[in-house]
Amino acid sequence: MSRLALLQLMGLGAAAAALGYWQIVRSPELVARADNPRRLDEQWRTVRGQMFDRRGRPIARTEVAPDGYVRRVYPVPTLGAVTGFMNPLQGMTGLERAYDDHLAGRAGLDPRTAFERRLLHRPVVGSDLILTIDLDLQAAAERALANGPAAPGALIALDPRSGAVRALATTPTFDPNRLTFDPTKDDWNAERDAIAAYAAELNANPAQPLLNRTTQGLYPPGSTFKTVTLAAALQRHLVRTDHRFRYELKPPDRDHRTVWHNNQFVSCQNHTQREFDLAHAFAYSCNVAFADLGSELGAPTYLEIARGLGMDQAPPFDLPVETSRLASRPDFFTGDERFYAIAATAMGQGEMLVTPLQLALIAAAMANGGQPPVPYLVEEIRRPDGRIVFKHQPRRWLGGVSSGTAAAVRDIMVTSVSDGWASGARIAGAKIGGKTGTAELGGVRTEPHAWFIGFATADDPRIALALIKESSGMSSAVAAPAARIVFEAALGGAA
Amino acid sequence: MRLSWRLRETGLLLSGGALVLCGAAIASAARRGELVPAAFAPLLVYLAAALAVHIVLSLAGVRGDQLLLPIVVALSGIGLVFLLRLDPDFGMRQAIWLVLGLVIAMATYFLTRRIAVLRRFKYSIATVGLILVGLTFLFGQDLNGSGARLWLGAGGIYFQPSELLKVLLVVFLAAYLDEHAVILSRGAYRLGPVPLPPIPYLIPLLVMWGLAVGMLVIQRDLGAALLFFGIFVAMLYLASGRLLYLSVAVAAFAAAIWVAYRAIPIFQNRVDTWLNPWAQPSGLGMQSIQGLIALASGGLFGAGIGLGRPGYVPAVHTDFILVAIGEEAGLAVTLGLIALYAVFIGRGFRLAMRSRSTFAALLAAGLVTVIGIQTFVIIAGVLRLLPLTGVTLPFVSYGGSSIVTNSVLLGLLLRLAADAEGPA
Repeated sequence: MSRLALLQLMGLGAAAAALGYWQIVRSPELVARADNPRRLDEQWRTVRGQMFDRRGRPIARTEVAPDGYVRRVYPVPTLGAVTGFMNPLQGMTGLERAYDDHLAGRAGLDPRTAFERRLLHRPVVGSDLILTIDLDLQAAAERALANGPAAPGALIALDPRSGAVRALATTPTFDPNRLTFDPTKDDWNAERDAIAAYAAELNANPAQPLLNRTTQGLYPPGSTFKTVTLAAALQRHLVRTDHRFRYELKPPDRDHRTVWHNNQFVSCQNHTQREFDLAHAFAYSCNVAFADLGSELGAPTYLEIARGLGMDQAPPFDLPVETSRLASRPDFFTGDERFYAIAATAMGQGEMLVTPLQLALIAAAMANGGQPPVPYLVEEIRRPDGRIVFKHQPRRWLGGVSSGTAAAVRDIMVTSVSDGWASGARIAGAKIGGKTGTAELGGVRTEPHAWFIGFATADDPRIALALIKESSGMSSAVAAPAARIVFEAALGGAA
Repeated sequence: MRLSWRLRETGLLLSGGALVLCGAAIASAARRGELVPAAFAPLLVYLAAALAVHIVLSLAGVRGDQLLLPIVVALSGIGLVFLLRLDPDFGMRQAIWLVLGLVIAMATYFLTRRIAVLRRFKYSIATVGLILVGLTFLFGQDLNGSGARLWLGAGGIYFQPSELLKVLLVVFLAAYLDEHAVILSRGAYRLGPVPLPPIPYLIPLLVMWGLAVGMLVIQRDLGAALLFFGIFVAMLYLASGRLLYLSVAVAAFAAAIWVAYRAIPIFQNRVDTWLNPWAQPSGLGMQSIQGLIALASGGLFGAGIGLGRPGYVPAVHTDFILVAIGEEAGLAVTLGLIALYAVFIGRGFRLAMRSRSTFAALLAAGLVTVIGIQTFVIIAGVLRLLPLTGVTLPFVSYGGSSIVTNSVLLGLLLRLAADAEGPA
């Protein structure tokens, strides 16, 4: 009889051991499982922190329903690429993802408060993000992209002194409100289906609305890259600002093209001028001059300076970024085509692929002392009681070029706007600097991409930007006037 | 009034009652932000009824174990706190059943003034039991869609006969085995070289095996089959002390289960799910996995009563109530529950050893074994030590049939405890 009793007590002992195993030993792993509905439930009841623009205007907020579930609302839907969205199918994106710990109130608590909260089951209230975005400038950026022919495009504008991103626009856009699960709705299945349908619609769109073109769109930079060549040539004292180019040009053919060595077509200004200075070679995007500068510098020197300005590495940023690259093949600059490679790259062709963010950083470097700033979106994180738990600290990232070089490039870029292809961006009385680029898409019979990079102003660098409109034709006609809209807003006090 | 007030019971009931009342108050505060009387009134009524039972027992000068009633009240009280928190409707009905259960326990206690009467009516009891089983086999209904046809009844009132059958079986086996205890000394029959158990053992052995296999095949109820066969094997062992018969019986049952596994897809699924629920986290393995996640969410001290989300686990108010307790009150309380069962079982066997007759000893040990096996089968099922079977957690889970049966069991144990103390 005692054996039978012992057997039953041993059974209970095994049950007790198994309870300890599942409740303690395996607990972390089980709780973290994706099919643990408590995680979602907690998320749907967490009063997430708000997001504000730099002047305190709302960009994301949380509405609490009487039953405790919360709805996330994005009052500026065009900022979906910045805020991101959240739903059970795709998880979180954007700043929602990058700052989830703060927004959900897990970070920024001192241990004692965190313990008290857990013990007393106080509802969690997340911290607010104060963004660098300026909604006025953002609106101007969106107007700029809508200006002219309707086409996908991207514009990123930042403060060249700090790297604070003031506007980030990418078109076509999506509505993050429609991609965010709303647990206050009665029918969760219908809500889930609606999100899935909208996501499928976005994914089926060949223009890829979910792609953040400013940081993840890789494009050939066209002539905007002559800025790098110019900086490299000045940095290595290959030329001085008063340098003059003289070419014996053969008579132009019907298409205003002239034959250059290796049968590469090059062109410059009115194609008959035989002599021009460095500033105008830049302002009129003289391919032959910049190809020669690149060839004389040599690939190793050229690539080193380009990398110092951020090429071939992803800038640290709060949103996912693509790495801008100088070549698509590892042996492009060393193989059989090496002479062509450096000449083509220096004039803005070759194999480079860049993000608008990368070009904006190069423009910012030229506007402000030579070093590309570290871009950032979050200025400050505040607890609901006003306590600041995070404040952005300026960081150094890359060496860039010397301040003397940068100042020379800056002045030449100003010339490019006052007397060059970039004149569409001109504003009377302001020293705007810029460079256009018309990136032809190899062989395909589509219109080229229209680029503009630049800054305002040379004396008081408040804003640097890069914008691209895909397949929209000549940059001087399309991109420069669009940039002007943003510069006007910035000079009018928007940034 | 003689000086035989059950003082120990008073203390245990009051302290246990105070603790579960705290639990109900916490749940109410956590769920609704204030103390809602409706949220713990049913618990108060049940505790008052338990106190009344205690007073009646004391006034009647009943002696005997003073731990059994407080343990049952503590277990039922904890269960009620969680049922009220999970679903006030279920909690309300459970409270009614629990009060009714106390009445039944008292009725059982006072009606079995002479425990030997049960012994005399053993064949009537066995007949009632077999009729119940037969009816279930023929007219059983599957109320919860589990695939097992366990319920009898009509017009909204349903009853699960297999519950009551447990107690009837123990009473019958205790009486039967007690009567044939002499045969133990005799030699066994032989079938060639194989020694067979004596006929009085062989017949019930075959009947029980048939019953268990019938439950497996006809009712698809592995839990009940395990439970019944376990009770039978345990009592056979108690009465005979022979391991040989046990081995034969266990082997035969194992063979039946193996055949069932090969032949009946439901069983195959269930066993496969047991071995690897992770393979189908949203299918057959869902309940098991969600139960384990709920337990894991509780950790050592739990999310707090009323602050977890145990509602995601299917059948959380019946078979899976342990995971609700584990999620909200943590390992601390689930281990406490196990300890309560352990003390209950310990007290039951202590009672059996102090009983004055073999029948009483077999009866006490058998009854307590019902609780022991059932507790183990369901907890082990939830914790994946055994395949999951649909059995309630005694005294804690929601369910009228289960409460009625366990109340009869408690009444009998109280009677046996009183008898063990000798004539008052």
